[in-house]
Amino acid sequence: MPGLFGTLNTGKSGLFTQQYAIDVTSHNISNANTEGYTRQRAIMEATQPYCMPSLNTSTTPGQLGTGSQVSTIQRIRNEFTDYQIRNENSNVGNYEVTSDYLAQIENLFADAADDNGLSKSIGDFYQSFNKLSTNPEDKSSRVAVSTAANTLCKALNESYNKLQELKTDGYNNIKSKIANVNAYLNQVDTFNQQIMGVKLSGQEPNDLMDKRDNLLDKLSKEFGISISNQNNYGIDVSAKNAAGTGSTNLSLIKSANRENENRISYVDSIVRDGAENADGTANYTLSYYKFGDDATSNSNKVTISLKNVSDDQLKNLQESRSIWADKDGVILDKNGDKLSDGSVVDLKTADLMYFKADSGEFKGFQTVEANIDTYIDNLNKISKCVAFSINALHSGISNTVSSSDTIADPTNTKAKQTVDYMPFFVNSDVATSKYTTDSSGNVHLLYDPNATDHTKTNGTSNLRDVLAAEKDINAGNISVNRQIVDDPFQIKAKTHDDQFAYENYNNVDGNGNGDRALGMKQLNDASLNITTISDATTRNSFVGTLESSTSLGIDTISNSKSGMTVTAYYSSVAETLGTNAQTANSAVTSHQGMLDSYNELKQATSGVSSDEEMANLVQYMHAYQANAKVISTVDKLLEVVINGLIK
Amino acid sequence: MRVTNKMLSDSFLTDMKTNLQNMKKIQGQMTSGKEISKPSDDPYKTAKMIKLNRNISMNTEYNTNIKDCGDWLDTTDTALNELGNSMQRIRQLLESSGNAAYGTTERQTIKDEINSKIGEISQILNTTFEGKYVFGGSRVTNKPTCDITDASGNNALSYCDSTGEPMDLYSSTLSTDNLNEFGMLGADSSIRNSLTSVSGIAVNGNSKLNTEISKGVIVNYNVSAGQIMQYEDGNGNACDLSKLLSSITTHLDNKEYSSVDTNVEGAYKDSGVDPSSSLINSDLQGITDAINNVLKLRSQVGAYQNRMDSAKSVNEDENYNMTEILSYTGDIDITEKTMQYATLQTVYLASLQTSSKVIQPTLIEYL
Repeated sequence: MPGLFGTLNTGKSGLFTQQYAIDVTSHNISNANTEGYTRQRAIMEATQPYCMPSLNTSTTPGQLGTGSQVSTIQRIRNEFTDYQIRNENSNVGNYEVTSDYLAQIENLFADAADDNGLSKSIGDFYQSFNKLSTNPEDKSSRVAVSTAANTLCKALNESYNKLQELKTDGYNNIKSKIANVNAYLNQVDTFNQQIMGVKLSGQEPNDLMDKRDNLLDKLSKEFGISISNQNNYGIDVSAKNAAGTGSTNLSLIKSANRENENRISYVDSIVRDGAENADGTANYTLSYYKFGDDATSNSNKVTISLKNVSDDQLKNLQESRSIWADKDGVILDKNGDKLSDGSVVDLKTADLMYFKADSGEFKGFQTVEANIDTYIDNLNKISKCVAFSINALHSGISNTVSSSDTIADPTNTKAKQTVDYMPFFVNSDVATSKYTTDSSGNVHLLYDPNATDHTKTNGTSNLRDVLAAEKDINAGNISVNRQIVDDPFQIKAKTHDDQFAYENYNNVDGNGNGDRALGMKQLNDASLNITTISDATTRNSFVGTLESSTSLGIDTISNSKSGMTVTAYYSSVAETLGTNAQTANSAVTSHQGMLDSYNELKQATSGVSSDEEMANLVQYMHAYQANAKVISTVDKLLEVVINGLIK
Repeated sequence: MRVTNKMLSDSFLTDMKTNLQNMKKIQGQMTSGKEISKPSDDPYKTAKMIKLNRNISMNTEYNTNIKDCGDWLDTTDTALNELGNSMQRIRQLLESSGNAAYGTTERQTIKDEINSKIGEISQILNTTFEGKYVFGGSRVTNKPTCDITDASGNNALSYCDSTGEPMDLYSSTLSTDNLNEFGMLGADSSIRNSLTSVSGIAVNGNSKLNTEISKGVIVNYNVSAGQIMQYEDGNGNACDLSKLLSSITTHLDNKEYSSVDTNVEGAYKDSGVDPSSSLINSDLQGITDAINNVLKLRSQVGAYQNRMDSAKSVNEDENYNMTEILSYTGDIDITEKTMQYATLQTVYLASLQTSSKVIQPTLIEYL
């Protein structure tokens, strides 16, 4: 028989239980707006009743309850919703980054629909030849052509440079992302151990788990993660479907055997080391930052040599820019060997473990690099097409010069020329250092036909070097021959200008003849093989043999059945860009919508409703008051027994 | 489903964001007047508009070409008209020279007028348009003919080289430079072969000026001095205007042409024919052939002028159509946009008002 003190204890336990519950409720209320907070609930249970059957059992009717206690503080969370949210977060991260960068690339093409920007520059350039063809004797129409050509080159150069800047920007973003990711991983690791410790001691690590879940959500936005639950609320985290990991199973976080955890390091630069090998591979020097951290200390930068790197392997490294590393940030190769400072790796036998995410912001950045490369390639194709076709028609010569050829000095005789002494477009990377000036110092020359002594100016080798570099023209280095800019009368506009080395040698056509210029203007409508241009395309392979035109008396480029005009190509590039951007934008909207609905589900389960907490508070308050009343009643009863029974 | 306060405010925020995004888009379209501000708004339309804009721009260039060509042709036509008139006057004078009553003095008077007409013909052949010599072939900045005085003191017509010095097509010593210049003026050297027994060097006829009046359509629009000075008569024989005029003035001096000028060839080499009868026979026929040649050239020019007129109207129609399509593709319909904007505004205001009433009250106020 428990007696009055037993009743007192029952009341007292009730009091403490309600007070505990009020504590939990007040914790909920104070965290009502905390990000990632899961509401907690005190689970009350009745304490062990009196008494269990045994030899010493009392004979009074029983079992009699002995009060209540809080058995556990429950965290109300739906793990499946968490899994769905992390999934969608990765998708949103991926498409957000892609759509962001595509919007920036779109800015380069923004004026396309209004006829400003690159398409106008291209069109104006070809049209300037029209004025030249009707007034070739007039200096202003010639200056107009060189000006329009200059404008086109500048527009191409600027677009190229902007795209390269975006690429570099993307790399820097990957670097800071890697640093962030590594920081998150370390924090999650710490929480993981703490949580396991708390659970082992029999308590519920609710708030620590909230913090860990928050970090995992942030991590899921960076790249897709897969979580497997271990003992004592510990987790193992690994990257989901990350390409390039080979057969080894790489974990980011482990609950046990933590020395096998991996991190990610950032590839800072990959520089070619010497010439290409015979089988197409080459050697490179790679330098990486451990943990992507370039600020803390110098020893974080590690340099290694790579041998026999194939083009595919190089592309993978350049696009992903991130490599799996061990717990200390030292990168690994496929065989599991650590590659610290000064190591030499033969990529034929042991590939590097580059990290290519399949979703999340990482994937967005890594895809963006590939996208930007495509657009740079498109601009390069346009540049090469314009340069080759105009140069071929300008000189009437379609063959290519190599750096081992020797060029004869030009002679003032009428004969079908085999050397282009006045190329219209040149590769400024090479040409800038090859110009000399004439006696007045104002006119830049690749070769001075009026000079008596050519040894001072390298003879024809400057011209030869510039012509040999023509096959490497791209959107970043296309420029107008300065000899033409300084003296626009060098532009070959007449029918028989292909029979003379220089325009002023032509004594067969009058100065009103502009048929060659007309032919160059007609290139605007010519159907050319732009889409098949590559780094290896030369003037000869692109233009082929010039055939005589039926309407003009010059040899011109024949239309290709499978080709397209420059304007059509440009508009298809703009259209592809627009479609990709549109797709990315609508993907962001739809995935964001799904994420919002999952978040709503999560809020429905785990969110704090202040109205509900208020109602609970009232409930606990009344119960507390009732228990207090029980205690005061027992107090009065005890008073009766202790002070009233014996006078 | 359990609903918390945070869910209500989150849902309001999401919807407000969408509303504001929509309103921003419509506002942008209305202030710029354009449907598309970047390619992702409508990729297909973007591609279409790029091509349309380029086409319209090229068409405008063709229009300029057509206009300039038309002006050049008008100048040519006027000049040929004056040329015809001068030659008609010469013909009249030749006819009147056949009057048996005319003596030496009258013939001299006629010769003086014909001399001045020759000067006039040279001047007409040197007509310019916008600083370019209309009959100069491809050599547009130098005059094609000059007016020289021959050995007997009469005016004669001659080609000029680029320094302004006279050039003789029939000279026995023609340099390559001179031959090239004749080519630029459209002087056909095969004429030289038929009028003389000396075989000549073929000259390329590089005298044509071309322009593009429509895509791929190239038109040769000039008449060169060579076409006027060298031509064929009704029987297919080669004729030369300068030789004809020299022959006329020589005959009016009562001399045989060949006995004066050692450089005379072929049909113009008189042999024993009385000069005064030559005047009303071979010379009269000659000037009639010359006039017919000018008329033939003039009718060609007229045909080209008509062609220019119709090309111009076709070009303008095309431009109009393309501009219409461009506007239909890329410009907004102001009425439609205003209605859409008004609707969005209503939705936005309604969402603001409703949400403000729902979000605010809580149980706390009533406890």
